[in-house]
Amino acid sequence: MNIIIPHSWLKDYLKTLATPEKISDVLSLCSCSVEKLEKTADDFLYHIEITTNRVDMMSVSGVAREAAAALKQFGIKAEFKNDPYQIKKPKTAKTIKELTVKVDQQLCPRFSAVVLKKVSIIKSARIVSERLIKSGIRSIDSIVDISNYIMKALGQPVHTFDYDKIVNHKMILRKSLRGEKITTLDGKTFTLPGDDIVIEDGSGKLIDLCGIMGGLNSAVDKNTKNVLLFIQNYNPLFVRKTSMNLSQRSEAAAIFEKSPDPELVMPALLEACNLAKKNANTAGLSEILDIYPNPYKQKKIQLAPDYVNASIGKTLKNQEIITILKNLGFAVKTNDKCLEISVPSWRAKDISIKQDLVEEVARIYGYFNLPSVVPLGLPTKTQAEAKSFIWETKAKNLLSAWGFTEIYSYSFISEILAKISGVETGKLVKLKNPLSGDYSYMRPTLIPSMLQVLGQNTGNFENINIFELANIYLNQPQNLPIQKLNLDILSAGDNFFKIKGYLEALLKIFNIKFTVKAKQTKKEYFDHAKNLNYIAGEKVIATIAKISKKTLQSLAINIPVTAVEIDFEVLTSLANAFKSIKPLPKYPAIIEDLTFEFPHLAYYQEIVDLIKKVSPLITKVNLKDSFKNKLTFRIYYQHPTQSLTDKEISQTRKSIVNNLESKGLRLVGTLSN
Amino acid sequence: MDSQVIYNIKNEALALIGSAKDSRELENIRITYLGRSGKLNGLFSKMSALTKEEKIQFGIKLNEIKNIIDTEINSRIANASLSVPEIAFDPTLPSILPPLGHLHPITKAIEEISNIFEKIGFIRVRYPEIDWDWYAFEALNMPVNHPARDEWETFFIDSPKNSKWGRVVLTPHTSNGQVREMERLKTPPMRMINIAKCYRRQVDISHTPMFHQFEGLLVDKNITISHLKGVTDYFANAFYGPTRKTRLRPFHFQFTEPSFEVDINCSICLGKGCKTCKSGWLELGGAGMVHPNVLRAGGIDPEIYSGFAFGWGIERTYMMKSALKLDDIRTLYNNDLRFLGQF
Repeated sequence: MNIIIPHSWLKDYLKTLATPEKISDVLSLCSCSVEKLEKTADDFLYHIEITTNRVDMMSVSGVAREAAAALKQFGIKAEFKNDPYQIKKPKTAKTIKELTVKVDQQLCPRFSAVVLKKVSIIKSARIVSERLIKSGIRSIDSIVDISNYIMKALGQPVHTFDYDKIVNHKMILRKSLRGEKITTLDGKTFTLPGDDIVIEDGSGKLIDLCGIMGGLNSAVDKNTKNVLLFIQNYNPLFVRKTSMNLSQRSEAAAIFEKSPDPELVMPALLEACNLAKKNANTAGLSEILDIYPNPYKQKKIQLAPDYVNASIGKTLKNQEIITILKNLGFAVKTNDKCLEISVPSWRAKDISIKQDLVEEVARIYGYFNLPSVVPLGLPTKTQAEAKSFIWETKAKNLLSAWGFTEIYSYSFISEILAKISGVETGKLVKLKNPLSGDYSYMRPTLIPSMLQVLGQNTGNFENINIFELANIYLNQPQNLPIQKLNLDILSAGDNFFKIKGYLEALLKIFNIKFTVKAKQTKKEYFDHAKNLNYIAGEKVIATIAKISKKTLQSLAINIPVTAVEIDFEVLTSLANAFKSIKPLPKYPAIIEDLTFEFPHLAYYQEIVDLIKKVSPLITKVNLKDSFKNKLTFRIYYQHPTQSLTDKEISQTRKSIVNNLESKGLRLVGTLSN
Repeated sequence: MDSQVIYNIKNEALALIGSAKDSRELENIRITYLGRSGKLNGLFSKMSALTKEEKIQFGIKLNEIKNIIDTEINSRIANASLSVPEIAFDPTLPSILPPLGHLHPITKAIEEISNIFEKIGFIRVRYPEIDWDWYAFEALNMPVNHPARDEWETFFIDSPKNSKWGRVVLTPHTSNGQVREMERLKTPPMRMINIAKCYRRQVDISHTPMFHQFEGLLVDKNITISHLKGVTDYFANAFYGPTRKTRLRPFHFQFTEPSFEVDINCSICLGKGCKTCKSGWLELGGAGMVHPNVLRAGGIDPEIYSGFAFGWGIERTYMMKSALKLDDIRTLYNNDLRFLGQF
């Protein structure tokens, strides 16, 4: 909540010689943030942010009380004066002859009203209109201005009705019914969602949307003679709900939804009556109506000065603590080792426990006066998953060094991207209150949003190589959604085997043993004829694939895209930084090339696996060359502890040829023996 | 014609070849002697005066010499000892660049921040980004009717409410890690740094519906406001530089008491106030002493232990450091490679 307070008005409640600059600094350090001190022709304006717990400071007098307490702490003379709470309690009644009321107590804990008789609807006195204008409020007339002036001065919203427009002089304060209509002062008509606090005049006509704005049908106008001055306290939850539902964020609503002090009602009413005499020549008042069945009972908290000192890290004198609290309006009784603190009504919602009082003492004493000490201690036990952070850094550094650019896209996706993911609706995590259609679901895969990013960049780049490490989300009944890290890569262009190389290099660095399976993925966005799964520990840890034509079309991408999808959680669970060392071979390998005609009835990888299976002496098989339908394999034979002769490997060589021929491959040339 | 003329030309050429300093000079020699209008070709034109027999003999000799000179030039060029003419190796030709990738600025910030806190014993943890209302609000002392818990400010998942844990929410802060960390460790001391994605229903130039926070939590015996000051000052020095320091201002959060807003002094005026910062101080983020109700919710006795916590936006913290001068925070999530390529 923000409030503008003119310095000249503040001085009504604050006696001090401190400059506005000093007051701003002191308030910011000890109380509320002065975000800006604005100098005008004849005044200074404090632009202040008030936190939601301090509705008592949404007023000139509230800020003055704090300023006085804080300034004193800086050794500057300051007094809080004209305390609105220092009033003589007036005579009130639970019924008055001018108005018949029926109040739902659950909605309105305090209902007060008074009739101002024979008012003059004129221009406000200069001091009133000037102060309002400086505070950012329009000056309207001698009556409406009273409401705004009192709200600004004391922080209590006030409403005024034209008494004679309330036909039967009857008010029923109740919950609205769904679909009821009201036109407010500003001419807007609302169809109410129901359960809003409203006042009906007994004929079914609504005359007030309580806490938000009055009804147009009972508004004060230039012909108004008698005014019903109306000051209440409402159940804050209802006011907030109505204000949010109807998007009516008035200052009154902002105050009402934060539980203002019900004890402030009477000071505000008296102050308003005084002002009515001066500003609107009010001839007389009715009896004061005040329905307040549960008045404030003083709250008491025990506070040990030792506790304060142990919380702030510095030892204060008891008297220092007592003075600070008294300056803020707390009553303090000194017991044996403890202080008994009575909480003033305007702080009742905010102060309940000793920690709250520590805050009061510490902030006014000045946080800047406390020492700065780095706490000593040992680190705690890490999470089991902690090793994943190291691998995350490693993977990101590798990919960025290999030329990939990291992106961060939103976890939310639209209906369209959800469709592209191909994940069934029941598995999708759906938002109940998305900001817009673009943010309907939590993504079950990173690929669709990454494709969108790739598509957006095609206008500026030919080579696009991107990656992202982020959670994917999948629904689980009766539980939190599955949330696990995926590391995905996209590359624009015909780069399948290049990207495959990066994937395998990454797996190698992570020290993961894997097997591969071609054309297994069923994921919609992948080309079902061009993909390869990487399997480790019986789980698919990664898939490399071309993005399906259909998916590319639906995102208007007209270049081929290769994608890698890695289950990073499984990857890090299998990753191992410590490789076991193999002794270096003592004897050189025998290396030979064998060329086969290859009719493409089997995958290359199957052939390689078949060759390797023949003998443990075969330590490595590479593809040396391929030309048309001929494949030349370079085969390494090596024994760990002895040197091999050609004779020793001739049997192995024969088995290779036989095995491959059984798969339809034919050796080119003949074996020497 | 005197065959001596031919031999003179030959000797002259060989001498020049022998003393040539680089291949460019040799190529010039080749042109001078063997070129189309070179010295040897010049001799051919004088053959008309000779008899047929003489012509044959002369022709053979000329070709012989031509070959000798040619071979000699070639062998000199092939000779490695010959100094290369400077211009033949041009080191200013364009390089063959390795592909250059880029880490996202948020990753860089997360790395740096977690390293700084690791040095004073804050270990990095990870907790759910989609969590129960209990961890995100209820256990954090947020009353049921707190505005943060309504659907205008926080995203909820469209799923049934759990009777024990409440609704499923997109965490609007990393503070859900507080009670989860207390449950994991059971007894203090605990020092964590929880970095995660957070979500709030807000989009404008300084807000994105998804953002990142880092949450520090320390719970131990005798922890005071002074310790929080010590840690924020340490962070400000390590992350922003040795001349930077922090200050605490009063603020309000449900899950801390007292609560603070942490400011850092401006890098230009160091707190005196200047054109850039106005007041001399810039807002870093919220912090506070852990509320006793939060400790209780995590099974920790607030009469024995106390602690502090802070939760700051990664984006904001990083932008303040690097003086990125991003006028729109959404740029970080637009993923325009022209932007990301600058990191």
